[in-house]
Amino acid sequence: MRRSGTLSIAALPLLAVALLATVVAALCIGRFAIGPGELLALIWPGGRHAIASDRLAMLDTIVWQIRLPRIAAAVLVGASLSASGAAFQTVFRNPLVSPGLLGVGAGAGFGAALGMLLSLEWTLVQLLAFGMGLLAVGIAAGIARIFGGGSPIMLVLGGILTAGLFNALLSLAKYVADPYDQLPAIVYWLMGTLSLADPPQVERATVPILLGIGVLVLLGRALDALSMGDDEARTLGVPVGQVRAGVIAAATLISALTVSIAGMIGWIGLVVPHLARLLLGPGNTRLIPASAMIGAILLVAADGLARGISTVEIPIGIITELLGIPIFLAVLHRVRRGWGA
Amino acid sequence: MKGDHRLCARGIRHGWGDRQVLSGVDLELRSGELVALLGRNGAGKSTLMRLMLGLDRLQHGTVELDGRPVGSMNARERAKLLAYVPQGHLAPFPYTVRSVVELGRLPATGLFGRLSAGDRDHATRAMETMAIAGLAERPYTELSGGERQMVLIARALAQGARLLLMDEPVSALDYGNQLRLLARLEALAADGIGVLFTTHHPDHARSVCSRASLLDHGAIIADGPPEAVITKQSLAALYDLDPAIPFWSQPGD
Repeated sequence: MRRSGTLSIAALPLLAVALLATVVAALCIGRFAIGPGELLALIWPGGRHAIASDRLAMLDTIVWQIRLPRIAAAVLVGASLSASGAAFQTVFRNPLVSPGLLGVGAGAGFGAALGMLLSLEWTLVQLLAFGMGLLAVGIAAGIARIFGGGSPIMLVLGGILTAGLFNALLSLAKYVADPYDQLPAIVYWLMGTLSLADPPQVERATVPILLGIGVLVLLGRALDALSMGDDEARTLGVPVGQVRAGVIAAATLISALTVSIAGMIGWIGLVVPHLARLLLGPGNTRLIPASAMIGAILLVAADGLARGISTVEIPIGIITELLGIPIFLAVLHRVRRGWGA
Repeated sequence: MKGDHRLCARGIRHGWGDRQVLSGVDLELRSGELVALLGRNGAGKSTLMRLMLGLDRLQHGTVELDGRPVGSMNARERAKLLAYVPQGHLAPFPYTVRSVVELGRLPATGLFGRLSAGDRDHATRAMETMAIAGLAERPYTELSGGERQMVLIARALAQGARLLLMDEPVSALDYGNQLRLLARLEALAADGIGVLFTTHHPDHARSVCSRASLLDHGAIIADGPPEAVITKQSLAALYDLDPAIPFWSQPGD
């Protein structure tokens, strides 16, 4: 498994280029196709006058009002889920962990369902999803702290308990929801979709998400030490409790934001860190940014499929699950031996 | 960072719930010593080691590193002098041997610092000392137990630590690897590093150690040169053996 040094060094810039190319392609693709040259003319300040004015207005609407917010949402959601998945896998020393481990998804799902049940306006529904996601992880961490001093195994147990609690509450919300109006909205939202992402919300989420990923990258070396075990990390001078709390807080914050933007999007957070590890090895200072970029690329691509496969848009959560499983099997074939089996 | 360093535990009493594990233990480790800590399963060896590393809060007694209490020392400063070498465990992710050893530079660089060329040299020298430089690019997860143990010692050396506490370093190794490891430990001690390791092999203590310490029922019952401390009588008492059955052979017996 000797990695060639140059490939490994160039991997991050290459991924950045690939992400940019994917975004450009996604801006062009859609029911109304835009040529790359036309897109360039649109972006280039000197190029805009070359486009007929009625077409320019339409292109502006499609690119800036419709496609870009949605693609930006896909980038942010894919990056958040993957970066927090990578960090969670390290902090829990378990390659089968996804960002939802501590119940953030279950909490957010219930929050959103509750909001829809109360017929709140959409911004409040999203806020409720975000808040309940944080609350669920807070409860899980509280259980771990009270019963097990905050150890990883107690955190997992706390996560299972809170996820169970919030899933039960979600079922209750679905049960009492109006079956003709509210229930389909809840179910559709839970499948995961980017079609509800609106520009102001994407703008609001951008800075916190980038900061959250930045915190995870900064804690990369501490995470490397933590993956060896708590005692070893402590004797290497790492403040284990603070690092773990910081990682969980940052990862939970950005995961909760993604759920509030796009509902439940599965598998990305589990699969992408494995892909990134195959490319760059397990060192977290590079693994986390690489995961973020690969996750962004995959989710933009999956959203392209969701929009493009049929005239009726397919929820992106279904696409990521359908794609995630074969990708995971392919990765499994390569990484199995590293799992101590 | 040569010089004489000293880790000193005094009057350690410690219990978990109602069970008293250690009842008044004194133990010391100095630079250049190779010390075996013997005791039966559950005698409190691991507890004592964790307390000496500052991993658990002391209940009674003191542990001092060069005269400063380990519990309240800055963790990075402590890590530059004192290292823990666990058993060669399996890690969940395939870090290369070099990356594992470079983790030993964390106390020097700090959590957010970058590895300098000097730090990398430090790690390389540590791998050379442990004769694992050839494994540098191999994934740690694919090594044998003996190789993993060497990597973890190299990481401790990369820390720049002058005192090493090792938890049953030979327990997972075959006979040949046990002897190779002991020879390495002897060489480290000759270089002025102090090593304290727990073991279930009295013969190892006799063959390479400068001191042996016997921990029984939460107290040190003997501490001194191995040939004086490890006798048929002391082992019979320590492990609750019938002196009539043959269990210990040494030249002259």
